[in-house]
Amino acid sequence: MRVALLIALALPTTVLAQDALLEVPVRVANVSAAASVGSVTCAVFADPSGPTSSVGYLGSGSRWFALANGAFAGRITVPVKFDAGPGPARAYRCVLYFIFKDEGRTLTLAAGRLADPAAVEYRAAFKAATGARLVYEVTGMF
Amino acid sequence: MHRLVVVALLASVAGLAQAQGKTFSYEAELAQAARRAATTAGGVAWTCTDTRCTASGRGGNVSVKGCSELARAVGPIARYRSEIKALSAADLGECNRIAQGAGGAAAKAAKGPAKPQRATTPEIAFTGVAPGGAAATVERKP
Repeated sequence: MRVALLIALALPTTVLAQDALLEVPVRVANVSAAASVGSVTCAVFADPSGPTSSVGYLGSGSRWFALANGAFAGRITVPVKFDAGPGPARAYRCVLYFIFKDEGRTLTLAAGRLADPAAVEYRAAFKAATGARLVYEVTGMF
Repeated sequence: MHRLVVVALLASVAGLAQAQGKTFSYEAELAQAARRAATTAGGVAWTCTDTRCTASGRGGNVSVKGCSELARAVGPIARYRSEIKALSAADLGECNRIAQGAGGAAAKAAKGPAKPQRATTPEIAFTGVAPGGAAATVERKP
């Protein structure tokens, strides 16, 4: 279940209709020039514990935003379709990703990985500023 | 008569176990195949196969609230009990009514001219080191 959720979060999706809309204020700055695009992917859950347990997963959705000079400040509206189960949604989890080029490949990396020194499977040059306010993912209730 | 004795004996044993703070098994029979294989309801983690859901937890009590949480996740419930207690027919009816009410609201929301659930999340924030740093690289674990 967790693997499926991670895959769902990692893959940007095109959503034609939505059952939930999440307004996500985003403020990023000083991102490496390798990344020209960021994205916010949200998953919603029927179970209040879903964001941590993945129980009651209903669906996910993504919305990308362009980085200008490595920065973006604004509000992203992420549409989510309940394609994995019936609503209503009780809880959500939204994660920040950066989409960037690496030797001709287009890669997507969860921003949260960048601050995790134990995450040996990824090593990125996107370093977070020391002492900066860093919030890579948010969770909450409807 | 024998059944009565067995039930009384089981209840007595179960009561002793409760006094010792042991774990009890819970069981629910569904009116149709479970909509999902696992969920959390009534404070315990349920596993469902076909029309049967099982769980284990402390206390051994059953409640309409716990039943309705399970019904909302997996579908209408025909029987809901623990080793030592069971919901009455009246309580089961109430359980399914509550769950159906939530499901009905969701169905209405899905049918109508889309009024999606909305939520505004806390801000996502990331500040990297100054632009112009090394290009992003990614190494994946073999």
